Amino acid sequence: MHFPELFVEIMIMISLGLISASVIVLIVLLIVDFVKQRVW
Amino acid sequence: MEHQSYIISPEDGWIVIAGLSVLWIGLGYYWGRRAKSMDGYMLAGRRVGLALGTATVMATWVTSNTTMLAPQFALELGIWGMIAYSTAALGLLLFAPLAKRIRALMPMGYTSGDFIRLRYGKPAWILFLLISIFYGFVWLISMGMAGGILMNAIAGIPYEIGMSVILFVCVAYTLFGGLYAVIGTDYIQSLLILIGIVIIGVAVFQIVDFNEIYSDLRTDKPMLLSAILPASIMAVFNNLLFGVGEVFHSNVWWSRVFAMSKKAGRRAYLLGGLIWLPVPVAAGFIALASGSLGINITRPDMVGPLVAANVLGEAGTIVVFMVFFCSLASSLDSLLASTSDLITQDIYKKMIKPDASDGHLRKASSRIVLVLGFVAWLVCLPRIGTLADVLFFAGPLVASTIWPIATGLFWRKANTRGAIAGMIAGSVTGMIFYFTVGWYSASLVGAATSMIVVVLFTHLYPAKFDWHKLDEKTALTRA
Repeated sequence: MHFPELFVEIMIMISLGLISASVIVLIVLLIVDFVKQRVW
Repeated sequence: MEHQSYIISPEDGWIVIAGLSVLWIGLGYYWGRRAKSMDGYMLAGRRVGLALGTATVMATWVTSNTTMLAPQFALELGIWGMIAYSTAALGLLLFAPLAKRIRALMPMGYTSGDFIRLRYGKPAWILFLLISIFYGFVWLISMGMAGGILMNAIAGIPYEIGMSVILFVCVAYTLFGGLYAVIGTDYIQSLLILIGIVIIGVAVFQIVDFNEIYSDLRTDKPMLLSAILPASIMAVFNNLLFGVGEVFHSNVWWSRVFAMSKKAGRRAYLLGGLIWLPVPVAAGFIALASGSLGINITRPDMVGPLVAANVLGEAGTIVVFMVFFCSLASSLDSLLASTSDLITQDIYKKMIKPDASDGHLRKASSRIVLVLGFVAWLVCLPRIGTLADVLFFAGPLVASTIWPIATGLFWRKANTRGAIAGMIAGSVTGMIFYFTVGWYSASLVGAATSMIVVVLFTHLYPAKFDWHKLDEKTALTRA
């Protein structure tokens, strides 16, 4: 029994999407921390 | 005559290394100006926010093992291999509630050793230190060696020189800036790692259709798509427990809890775990595409750079070289800082010089970073081969600490006898399985045995632990 193609493709697409979103999240978080003066 | 073609030219390799090295050391020096006190140097002032906290958690967990071993897992264990590697994210996610608890119980704590000493006493503390320092040092050596091997394989830089440079750079900026430098550089490194993985993944999708990759795999390597592969399924649990054990016991993660602000700790571990979760899947996908791209893989751990070179040309290999360099640096600096903290606080201060002032400890900590770097360099120099086996050997040892730590944080009844017996029984049975069955069963058995022993002893000899004892500074003031 094999993993269905659609399952594997969706898993990979979601992974790449999440990683891209993570970059934005990290940048936004830093801006918010900077504005609120709680970076360090 | 031996002919070796490298993925990028040594000149390009040196330019990338020089650029990143100057950046890290410069930032380390800049941030180091903040690290005047002991709390500043060891714990970055104890007020690190959510952004830097999340990034440092994520970047430290992306070791060279993730970028090298995750593709290897995919090539050898298929889809389950990718999923197995991703389960290591649970180590970070499950540590999140512990982070909150640790910060509440030990607001002025320094190391994971502090917790074991105050919670279970000296014999358990010494046993724990042996496990923790062994694991930390093996991880440090494996990263140093991986650095030399990678630079040699990708850019043709001689092993000894590549390994020396990466160790020197990490020692330098950790020495200058302590945890400030480690956490600050981790933020930039995490962005470079994530962007690099996305660039390569998207490029692969643009060159080959996914249904082509899938049908090639189904024809040439159908086992990789199999949903029922017992060894791979076992690897899921083993990797999960190894990951949980690594995070729960290691001072790398405890020191970050003490460094983060009270509000940031739990959320940073949750977010860091979620950000890390898809990384092995994306890295594994790059490996699975190698067949459809017509790449002949002779070394599975080099599949990332090979695919990047194929789909993006020289620019791609420079991206992947940066990703590797950042993955290595973000783990090496953390290991240097946290192992040095453990030796400074738990051995030097507690065993050798209990009356040492903050200034004295600050200096001692710097010297220990230097000595650690030098010893790691000496051990790495002969290129003794792969240390992955030794690292997996540490799996049952660290897995045996999961339950003494988790129950010790939440159960008042958890006791010293259970913690010591759990760590010993878990380590011994895990090692027996490591040698007789295989690496993929060792952590699972180690953690299960430790759990049974700890739970049994908790019921047989319930303690009545006073949680206030964990807040050492307040307890001393009261006394």
